[in-house]
Amino acid sequence: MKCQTVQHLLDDYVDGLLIGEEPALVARHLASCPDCARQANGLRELLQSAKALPRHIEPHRDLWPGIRGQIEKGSKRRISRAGRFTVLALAAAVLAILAGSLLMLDHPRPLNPGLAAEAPVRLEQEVLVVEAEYQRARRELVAAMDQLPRRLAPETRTVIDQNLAVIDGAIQEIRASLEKDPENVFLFDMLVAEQDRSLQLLGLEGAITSNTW
Amino acid sequence: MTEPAVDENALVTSAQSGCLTSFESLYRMHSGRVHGLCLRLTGNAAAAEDLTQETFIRAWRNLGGFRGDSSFGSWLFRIAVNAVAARYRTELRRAACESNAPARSVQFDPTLRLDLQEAISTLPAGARAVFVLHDVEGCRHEEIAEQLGVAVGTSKAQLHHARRLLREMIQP
Repeated sequence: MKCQTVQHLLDDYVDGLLIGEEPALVARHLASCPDCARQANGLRELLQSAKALPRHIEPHRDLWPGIRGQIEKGSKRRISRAGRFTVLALAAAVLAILAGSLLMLDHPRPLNPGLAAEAPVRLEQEVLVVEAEYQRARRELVAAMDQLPRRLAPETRTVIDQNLAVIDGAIQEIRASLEKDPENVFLFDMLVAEQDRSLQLLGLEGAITSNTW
Repeated sequence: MTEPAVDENALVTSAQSGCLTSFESLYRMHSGRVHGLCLRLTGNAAAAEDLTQETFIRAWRNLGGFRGDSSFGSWLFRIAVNAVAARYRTELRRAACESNAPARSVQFDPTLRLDLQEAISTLPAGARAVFVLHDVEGCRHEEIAEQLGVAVGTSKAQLHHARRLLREMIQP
C-alpha cells in the first residue's frame, strides 16, 4: 500500500471504520513507514485531546432571566405568526376595498398575545394549526385576487407563478420530512418560513394587480 | 451529561404542565452542557449565549412533544444543534458545496501554536461543526449529516479537512 493511499484511509483507520483487509494493510504500512506512522500518531493525539475537552462550559452571565422573559412574553414564533397574519389581514383588507368590497374576508385572527407561561404543546399539533392558518390565508388571498381585473403582464405573472411553484415544492418536501420526523423544530421553522414566503409573494401579486404597489 | 441529583423526570413532567420553576431547574442542570456545545459549534461567545437562550426557549415551546424516548439532555442536545444549524444554514450549505473542491488552508502564523479550543474556533463553519459533533461529541456521520442537512460524504470530507487544519495549527 502506498503512502498516498494510506493517508487517504487514515481517518477511517483511526475511527475503526475500515473493513476487510484494509485495516491490516494500513497497519502493516504504518509499521514500516515512519512518516505515515507519525501522521497516524498525530491524529490519535488530536482525537484524544478532543475527547478530553470539557463538555460543560457555563456562560459568563446568567441567561435564565432572558429565557424567562421570552417565555413570559410568548414565544417568538407565536409572535411572528401573529405578525404574519396581522399583515395578511391588512393586505387582504386592502384587496377587498380595491375590489369594491366584493368580498367579506374572514380576517385571520392574531394569536393571543397573552400567552405568558402557558403549558407547552406538542409540535405536531402546532404544525396542524399553522397548516390550517396558511391554507385559509392562501385561499382568501387567491379569492380576493380573482375579483380583481387582470392587469399583470403575462411575463410578470409567469415569473411569479414560477417562484410560487418553487416555494410550493419546498413546502411539499418539508411536509414530507415532517411526517417522518414530526417533532423536528428545525423543519417546523423551515415550513413556517416557506409558507410566509408563499403568502408574501401572493400578497405582492395582489398589490401589483390592484395598483397599490 | 452528569447524573442529576434531583429527579429530572419529575421536573420535566412538572414543566410540561406549565411550571416555570421546574423548567428553571432543568435550565440550571443543563445550561453548561448546552452552552459548551453552542460555544464550540459557533466559536463565538455572543452567538453561543444567544443560541443557548434560543435552545431553552425552543425546548419550552416543544416540551409537550418530549416523550422520554431519549434523555432530556439528548433531546436538548438535538434542539441546540438544530438551532445552530438554522442560524448558520447559509455557511454550512456553502461549506457543503465547497467540500469537493481542493481544501484551502486557513491562514495562520505557523510559529504560533494554538491550544485545541482556540484552534477549533478558527476553523471554517462547516469543518468546525462536523469536528465538534464527531470528535468532541461522538456523533456518527449519519447523525451529523441529518442534523446539518448535508450528505454523509460531505460530513466525512469536512472532518478530514478539519483534522488536517487542526494538526497544522496545534502540532509541531
